[in-house]
Amino acid sequence: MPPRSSNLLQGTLDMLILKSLTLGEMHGLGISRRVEQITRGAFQVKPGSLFPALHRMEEAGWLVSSWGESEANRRAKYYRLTKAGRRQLGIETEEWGRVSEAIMLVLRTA
Amino acid sequence: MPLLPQLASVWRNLFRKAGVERDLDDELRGYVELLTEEKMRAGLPPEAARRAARVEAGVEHVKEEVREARAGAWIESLVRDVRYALRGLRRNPAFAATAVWSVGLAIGASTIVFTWTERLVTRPLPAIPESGRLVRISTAGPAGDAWGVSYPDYLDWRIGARSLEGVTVQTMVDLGVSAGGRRVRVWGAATSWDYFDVLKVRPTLGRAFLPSDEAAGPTAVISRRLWLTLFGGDSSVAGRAVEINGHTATVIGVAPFRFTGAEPTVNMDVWLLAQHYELVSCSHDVLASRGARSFSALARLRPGVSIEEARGEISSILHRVAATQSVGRPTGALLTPLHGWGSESWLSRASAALLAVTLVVVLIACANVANLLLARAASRRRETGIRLAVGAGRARLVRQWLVESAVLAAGGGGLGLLLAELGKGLILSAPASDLPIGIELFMDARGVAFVLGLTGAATLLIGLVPALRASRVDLVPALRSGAVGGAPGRGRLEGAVVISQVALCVVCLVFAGLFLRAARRVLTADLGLREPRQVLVFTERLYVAGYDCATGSRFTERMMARVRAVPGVRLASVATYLPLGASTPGSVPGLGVRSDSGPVVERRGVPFSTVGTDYFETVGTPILRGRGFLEGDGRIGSPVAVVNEAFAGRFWPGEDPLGKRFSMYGVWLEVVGVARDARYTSLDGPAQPFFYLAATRSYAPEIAVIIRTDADPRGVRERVRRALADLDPRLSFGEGRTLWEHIGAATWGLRLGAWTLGTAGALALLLCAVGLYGMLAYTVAQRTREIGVRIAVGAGARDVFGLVVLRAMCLTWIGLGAGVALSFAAWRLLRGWQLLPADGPDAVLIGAVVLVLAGVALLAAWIPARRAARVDPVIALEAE
Repeated sequence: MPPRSSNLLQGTLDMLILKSLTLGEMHGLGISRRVEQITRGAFQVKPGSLFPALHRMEEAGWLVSSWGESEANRRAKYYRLTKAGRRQLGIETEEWGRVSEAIMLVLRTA
Repeated sequence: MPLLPQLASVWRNLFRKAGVERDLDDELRGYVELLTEEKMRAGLPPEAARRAARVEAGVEHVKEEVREARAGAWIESLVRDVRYALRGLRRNPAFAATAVWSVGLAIGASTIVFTWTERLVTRPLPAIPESGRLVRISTAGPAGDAWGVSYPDYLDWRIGARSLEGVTVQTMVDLGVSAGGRRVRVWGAATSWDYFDVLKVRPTLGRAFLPSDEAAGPTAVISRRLWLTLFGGDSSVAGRAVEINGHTATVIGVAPFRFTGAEPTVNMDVWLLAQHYELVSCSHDVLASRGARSFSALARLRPGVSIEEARGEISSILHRVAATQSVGRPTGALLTPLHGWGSESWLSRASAALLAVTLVVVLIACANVANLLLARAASRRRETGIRLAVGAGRARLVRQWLVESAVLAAGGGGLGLLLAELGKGLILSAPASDLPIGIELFMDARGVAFVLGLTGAATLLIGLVPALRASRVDLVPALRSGAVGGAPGRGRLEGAVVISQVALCVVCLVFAGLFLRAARRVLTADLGLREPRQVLVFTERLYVAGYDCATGSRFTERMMARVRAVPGVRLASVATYLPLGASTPGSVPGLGVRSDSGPVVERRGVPFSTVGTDYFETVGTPILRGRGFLEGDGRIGSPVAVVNEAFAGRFWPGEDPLGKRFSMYGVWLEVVGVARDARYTSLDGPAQPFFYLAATRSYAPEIAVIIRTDADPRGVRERVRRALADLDPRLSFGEGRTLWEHIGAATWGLRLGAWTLGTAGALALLLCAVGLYGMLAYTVAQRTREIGVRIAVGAGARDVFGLVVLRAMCLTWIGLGAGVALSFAAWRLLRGWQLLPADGPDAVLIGAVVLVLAGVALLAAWIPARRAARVDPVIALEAE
């Protein structure tokens, strides 16, 4: 059993997924491609972390899912942000800002 | 995280698993297809694109990850752990049985004691709300002894005591009740009208007493049980007539379920007003006299008022009144909680001791199982190593061990609950009892919580040490060393557990021994009665059949003539009070005594019994000087009395008591005889002054017929019973019993305590032996190879045998030493709580316990040692 990602990393993944869904509903592959695109390839979201995160966030009520047709008429599960999800994104963004600011501060002074 | 959707997810994941899984399959299949398409667009041929997509997706791994992330995943893995534990236990049934029975017996015993304590001490009155604020009020005699309360006292307090929310009085009365052709004998209480209001108990049918009932005809509230027996649960019972001791009363209400009065151990079935008490009991002047302290008072303290404050107030009221009294003045008030640890009864003491001992037994049982688990942990080092090697986390392993011990503890808890249910009859019936005691042991929420708490504690006690230890396994040696544990320091922990077990067992046995010794001393004390097994007693209260003072007297004479004519009856007499009975003897609070050195007024209550002719010969209490009572005593000439040695020694020390006189309620009695001291009200303590009056002079409504026989008492009992039944069908006189059995009823509690403590001690000893045996048997099995090597290089069977026994005895003696020290420490600690018999552990007791335990340990070591001595080196070494 590989070690779980630390809380910070997990929170980051959640934040990235939530952020990528702000533009509209998307399926799993779309989300991981979008994250890659936004981060210019810095983050490669593997299915082994993507799907557990999606299911966890759906159970938490941040996302809702529905079955839909993809571009090539494939059945795929689409995820959409809920109001709670938007709120969570706000919280995580703020938290992230604070943490990164603090870290930058440490790096600059030390 | 919102709770409701979360719970819905848990529900879906656990119980709609197939649907959830199908959904996940579909989703991942869609993902793989999309990925394939993407790769095809990038120029890969379809087949290669599909393969690459599948590898990249890693579907099975993803599924596993998603399952782990799902809400309620821990429940699933817990179920898996439980299944795994059960499988492991099924493979090892001897271990499982030993563990479950150890814990089960201990939990069962504690549960019985707990429910018993609840019913008798902490919550004996489940139907009375806020019973914690109820106190019993007695008046205090000059020696600090508890006297009863008079009705005028009650009236004073009712008006004057501001610290009390309410106060009521009651007195117990034996009743013959009949209605609708059915007739039963029950205990009742004559109370003041506010009884139910003070207790805050509302009748479920009809109403409680009202002040206006006092002047009206007799009314009664009956128990739910009596309502079902006599009236078949008829809901229109209010207003119906019921015959009580020959008088007609009107039923006005039915008490609620489980309300049995306010006496913690007595089941009452009828409540009457004190104003009608004289009618049904043939007593006089009960309500008006300050000297007749026939009631016991119950009061509800105002919220926030302490017992001490209330005591001060009641005492000052008593002092104001006492100034006008000549004799029998109380010195103050005594207030005790109606129940709970503060009630200072022997019951609460014995219960506390019992509970402590059984909890120690639980500790011992847990130590047993922990030791067995430690042994298993050693033999499962390899399995543990493998699991660690394939990546199981240590936390995961600890959890697995704890789950396993929880399964064992739960099995033990379940078994304990079952044993408690089966065994509670045993504890109540163990010593046959004729006391009017009605205890219903039943399980309630608190009982279940107790069992659950014990089971949880047992889980931790059993599992924590082995779990932590098992998770510390070093990977490489564990896998390399083969099945035989070869780690250094092996057995040190097991040894420590055995030592603590022996020590706890010592404590348990020492305390059981203390109680047994105290009980034995009391039970074998000289009672001042000869051959109590050859003496039969039949008790009855004549007022139950409606006899008044005149008719009762004539009836007694007729009855005695009949009884004396029964074949096999050598001597027969009557008495109002039998030694060591459940009732209290009559007592005179202000006795005027005239001695050569001048008049003395004895303010302490002196108990007496009114007895017939031949009484002293019948019960076997010899007359030392003078004579017993004769036929004409009391009726002709001046009234006479017989006193005991303690009486004579107290009032006429160094003088000849014969011919001396003392006054009782203003009547002067002449001493005509001195009887040997006997035990009257208690088995313990110094001899108390006691005197006897002649029954021919006064009629007694409560009588005991006493018969001495030389023949087999059973046959005589049957003949006398029939003769008595013919006299008046309304009187039962009971089944009759020997004086020995009668005394047995008085010592019921003591024998019960001794019996249960003895059982608990034996249980502790057994568990201890099992623990030691299990540990040694296991070590021998583990060290078979080492022993084989020793024998191969020339060690004799005796050496090997000695080695095992030596190790066992070393552990045992360390445990014994620790246990003795611990016993003394516990004794010193508990002595302050006054929970224990007065004298502490001494050399004889300690010696006996040490010898017994050492012997048992030797026995437990014997079999494994024999097995070790018989190890065949060839087989032992080949086995690898």
